[in-house]
Amino acid sequence: MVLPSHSLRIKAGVQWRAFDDGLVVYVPETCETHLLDTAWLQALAGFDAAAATAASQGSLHQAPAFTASEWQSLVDLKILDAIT
Amino acid sequence: MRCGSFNVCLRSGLPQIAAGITQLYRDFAVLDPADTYVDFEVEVRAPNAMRRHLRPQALLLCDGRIPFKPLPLAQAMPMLEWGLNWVISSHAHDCLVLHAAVVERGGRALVLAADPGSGKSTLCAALVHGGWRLLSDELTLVSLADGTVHPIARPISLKNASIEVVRGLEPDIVLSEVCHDTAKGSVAHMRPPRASVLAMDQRARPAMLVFPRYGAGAALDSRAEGRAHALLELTRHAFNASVLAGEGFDALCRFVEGVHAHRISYASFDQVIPEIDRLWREIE
Repeated sequence: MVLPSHSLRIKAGVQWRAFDDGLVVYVPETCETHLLDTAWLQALAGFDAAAATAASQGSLHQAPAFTASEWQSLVDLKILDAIT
Repeated sequence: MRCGSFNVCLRSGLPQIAAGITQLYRDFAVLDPADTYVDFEVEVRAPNAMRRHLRPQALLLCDGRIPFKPLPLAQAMPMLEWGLNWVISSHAHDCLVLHAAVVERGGRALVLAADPGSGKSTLCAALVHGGWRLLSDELTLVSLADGTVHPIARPISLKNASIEVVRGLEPDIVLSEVCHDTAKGSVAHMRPPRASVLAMDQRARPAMLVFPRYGAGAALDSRAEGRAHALLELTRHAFNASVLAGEGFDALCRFVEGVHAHRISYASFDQVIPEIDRLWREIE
């Protein structure tokens, strides 16, 4: 099932670094490193910002629009998981 | 024996090993075992008494463990080299260990990362012959603490056609006897230059990363590589990325942020070495 972005979160320990030619993401659960389009930077940074502010302000994360299958691809790579 | 930042205790009663060490490790410092902390104990010997006479073999032990199956006795010296690579890459976790050659000029390091068969060691030998200091032809050890490269200027491993290519560079180059029918084909090792051995305590700061690819008859193709793509490819060449996990990812990121990355396809030293010199001058 594909989940809306506001019900997803970055999995623990995932690291990323943005460069001009792409966004490199390290996933500790799989020990894999992935190259994503830089468009994902805003989304991942948004998750982080939401995590930092949600506890104190209750703000909701608003990520850029991606298709359902694109969100699902990050879930499949274990970069994101569902908030249950 | 002092080997870069490691002290290796080597034991063998095999004449092939004695001859190989005498030839290839001539300039390495021999330490007093009674007064030295030993990082690795490596032994090459016959598996058992019968094997000394019937299809004789050599067995490698690293710190008492047997990492490889025995090999024919004629492959004893290559086996020692592979064993040293294995023991270092399996234990040097205070460093990011890259499967890459590395040479130095002016205190800065040029790293050559490539899949086996891409001509990495051959190009490394040619660069060293041209005056670059050898840091390693096989293992680039990047300190997690400060990002510098630890030299470990051991013999350069050459395979198949590259053996005669390197032999043709200069008559004075010292190559071991060619060992045929190994898992890697025919192999020989080139003695590291004395100056590189004596300078093994001088670390270097990574400045350039090249992904070389030799192809017979290929036109020179040199292009800058983006850092994200370089990082992704370098991850494949990191022996201990899974051991270091997030710390290794951080180290890889810092590494690519500190270097200029290029991808060069070539067919001859006449193409690639002037191109590397040109790129190097641009960052000086």
